[in-house]
Amino acid sequence: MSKRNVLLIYGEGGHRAEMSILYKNLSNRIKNNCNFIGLCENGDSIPSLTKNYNMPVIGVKYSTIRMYLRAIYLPPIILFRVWRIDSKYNISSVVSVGPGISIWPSIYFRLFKSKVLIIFIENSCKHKKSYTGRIMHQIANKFYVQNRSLLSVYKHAIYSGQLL
Amino acid sequence: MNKVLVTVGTTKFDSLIKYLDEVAGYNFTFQIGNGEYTPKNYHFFRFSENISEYYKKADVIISHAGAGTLYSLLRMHKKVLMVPNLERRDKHQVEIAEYLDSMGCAKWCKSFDEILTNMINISTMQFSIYESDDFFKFDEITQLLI
Repeated sequence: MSKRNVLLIYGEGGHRAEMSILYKNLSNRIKNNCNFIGLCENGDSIPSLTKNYNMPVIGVKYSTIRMYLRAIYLPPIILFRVWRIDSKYNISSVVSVGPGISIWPSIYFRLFKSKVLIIFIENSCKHKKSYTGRIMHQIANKFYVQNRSLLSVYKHAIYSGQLL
Repeated sequence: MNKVLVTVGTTKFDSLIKYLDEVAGYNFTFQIGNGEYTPKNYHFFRFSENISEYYKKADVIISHAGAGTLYSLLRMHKKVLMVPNLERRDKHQVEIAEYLDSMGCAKWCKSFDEILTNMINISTMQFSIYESDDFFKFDEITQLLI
């Protein structure tokens, strides 16, 4: 049986630290069944993944005008990049630990490949509803939260305990 | 004298380091990450693979409000003064500082001056124990992926 290809989406700092722990534990369990392909921001990748791709950030790290401009011209570029990755690897599942860069790849798979399983784990620093969480709650097949306080905020949230 | 570790994680928080470096009378050690400002008056280092050893040895930790650092420190039952890094454009560190402060697990310093005010009272400050569960969904996610 051929290996399944799982797309791991993570950001920098705490996002990366969380994904490192998640990846280590998942790969220990299913390294013979899955390849793990990374999608990260600012090149802050996890080296042991099968392959890493960098994704441009639209969000709050830029000034307001620049952010709006990026929100207009970046989504087609992101969707094209995701399509290329998917064409190469035939992605079967997406796992994200909460960064904003999760949104457009997840929309791509929800729109064009609905059989792809999307798992979203809200970042452990979140104790209130987040912009990304709000959108991903609508898109993800499984939506996990690392803080109990979010169970009352997201209707379909599943408590997971904390990665960090 | 209390050993005080000042830690900023993997990014930089030069304004905090510079402010505290210019305060005399403390036993500070600085972990400055990728910061450009290097302390002139106290010992400093950029990164350490044994950062938890520094955490253990410190009596008080003045920390940026990064989730990884804070959760590690709170599980070690350390006295933590949190200073959200507002040099970052995204302000999400305020959220976790606000939450942990409201739970009484650590003290949120809203300005640099508040750090010194809190340092005066730190020996008598009481902190709540931070309670959390380790991640327990690895098997469930594994089953979903294969």
